[in-house]
Amino acid sequence: MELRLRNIKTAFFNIKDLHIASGERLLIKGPSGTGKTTLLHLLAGLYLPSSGEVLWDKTDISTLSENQVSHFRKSKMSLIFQNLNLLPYLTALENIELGGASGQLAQEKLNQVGLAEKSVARTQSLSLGEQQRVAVARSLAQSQEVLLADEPTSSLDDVNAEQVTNLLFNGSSKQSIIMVSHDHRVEKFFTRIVDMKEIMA
Amino acid sequence: MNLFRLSFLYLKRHLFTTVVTILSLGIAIAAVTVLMKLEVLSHSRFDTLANQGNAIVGAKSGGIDILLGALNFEGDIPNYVPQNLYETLKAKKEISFEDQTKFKDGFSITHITPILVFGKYKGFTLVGTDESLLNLTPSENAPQLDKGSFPQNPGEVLVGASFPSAEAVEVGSNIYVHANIHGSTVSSSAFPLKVVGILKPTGKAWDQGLYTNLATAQTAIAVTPGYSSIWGPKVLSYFLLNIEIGGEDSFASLINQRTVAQIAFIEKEKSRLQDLTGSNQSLQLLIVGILLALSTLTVLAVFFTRIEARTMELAVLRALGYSRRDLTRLLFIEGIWIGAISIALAAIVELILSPFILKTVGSTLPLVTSTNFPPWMIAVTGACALVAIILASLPPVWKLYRQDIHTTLRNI
Repeated sequence: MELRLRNIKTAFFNIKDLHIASGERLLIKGPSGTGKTTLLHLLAGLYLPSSGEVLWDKTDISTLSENQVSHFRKSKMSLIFQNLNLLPYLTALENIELGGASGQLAQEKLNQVGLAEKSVARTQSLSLGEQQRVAVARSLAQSQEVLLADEPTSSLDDVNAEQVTNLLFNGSSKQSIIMVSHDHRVEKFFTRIVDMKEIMA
Repeated sequence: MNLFRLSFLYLKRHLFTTVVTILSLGIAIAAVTVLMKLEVLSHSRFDTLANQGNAIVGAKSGGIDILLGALNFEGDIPNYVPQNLYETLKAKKEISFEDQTKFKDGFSITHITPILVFGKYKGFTLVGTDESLLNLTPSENAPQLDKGSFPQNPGEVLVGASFPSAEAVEVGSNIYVHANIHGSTVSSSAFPLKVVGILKPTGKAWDQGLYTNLATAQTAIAVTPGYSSIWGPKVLSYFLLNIEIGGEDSFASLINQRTVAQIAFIEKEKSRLQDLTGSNQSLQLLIVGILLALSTLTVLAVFFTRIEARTMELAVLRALGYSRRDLTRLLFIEGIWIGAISIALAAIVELILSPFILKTVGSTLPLVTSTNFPPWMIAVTGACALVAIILASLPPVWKLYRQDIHTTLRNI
């Protein structure tokens, strides 16, 4: 799936043109407060610009209804949030199922991130690193054309960071991965690394 | 994960809040239902109250008690008045007292019917009377024979229109009844009554009566354990009268001041009852209104609080691809879960609470029957409560539609 931002104006930044080809692995870097998370939300259709076009496969999402955007996002994108955003009253397994995965697939992905024993634990009882791995497992289970990840390894030690990044990049080569991260350990996985300053008009 | 499971998990994992919400809603719905039942019952008596004659004579008690006892068969077995008084008035004889006072003129009785209430049978009232019952005035809604005849012989009974269908009897059937007397809970042994006639439907309390002749009724009370009266078995509970206009004061003075009986003028007592019920109804409606308002506000507050606490959750779900429509469904499903369980709880609470409250109100209300409080009214109440609870989900949904996901997800 191809993504494009054109002539974007927001309260935080302006972008003249950002094109992300299908299957591209793009790392977005930049100091805090420059709008990296907002950029991911813009690409996911969670935030609408004051003006400009957000194109998903050449379709301007402003022409789609809210239901169509939601449906499109559900069927094409998976997201890992900066704040992890797991539902605290659900177990690790149920949080993965929330993304649409079956119980079996959810357990499989949980096993892959090394949390097989934690499937019935409520996420509020997990450590930050474990929660991060549950969030990663949820996106793995969704296995969509586009993965938007916001600092997915920030709370992980070297071993887990390596393991999780490997899992994220083990998917289909057609999957586009757009990641916001300060973590130098993940840079080697990307085909393009850009700084927010370069993107901003 | 489907929305039913998600909503169920949310309610289950927030058990304390869910239980408190359901308890408060359930009790509120039950209270509203009980008050509504009281309101319906107090209103229904005006529909079933017989409208024959213009006065009733009964033992000394409240005029409203006499009215409701005689014309709506409400309350316990009433106290007795001597049959002699009835006979004298019926014969239009001069009435003489020990102090030599005599009454004859000043009033004219055009109709008189004796009533002796002597028991209850499955919600139907056993009444001893005579054939004048079939000639009450005005004739509209007055008892009229449909089949058979008035019971002339001992052990015969004429049944009200509701009885044959309720008890599957017909002319020729036997029923076994017990007699009861005033002021006692002891019943006589069972004795048979043979159905010899059926009345046409009147839509009034007459449909709920089983009528035998006076001799049968008086014999039955005479053999009931504990019965004792200075008049022997020759007693009545009431007699229904039609007095010519102009003679009421003179007649009332005679009955109330010189006899053991008391007269109740039907229109006057009806009017008093309506005033009393009217003010009670206003109070009940006010309480129902306050309760409904409180319940609605509670539900709204609960739903708003829930959605306030769930802004992040709902934003995450939106980001995961759940549309606003999906989340609206989710909130409605939760509303239905809460509503359905609350209504089930309300039904149980109402079943427990209702008899106590009706007992506290006492004999001033008619018994609950499927006629005066049909089951569909409970179903309608439940449905209304469910709709109200679901509608209470709407304002939170409006809030959901205005949610800024980007800001929420960034925890700003």
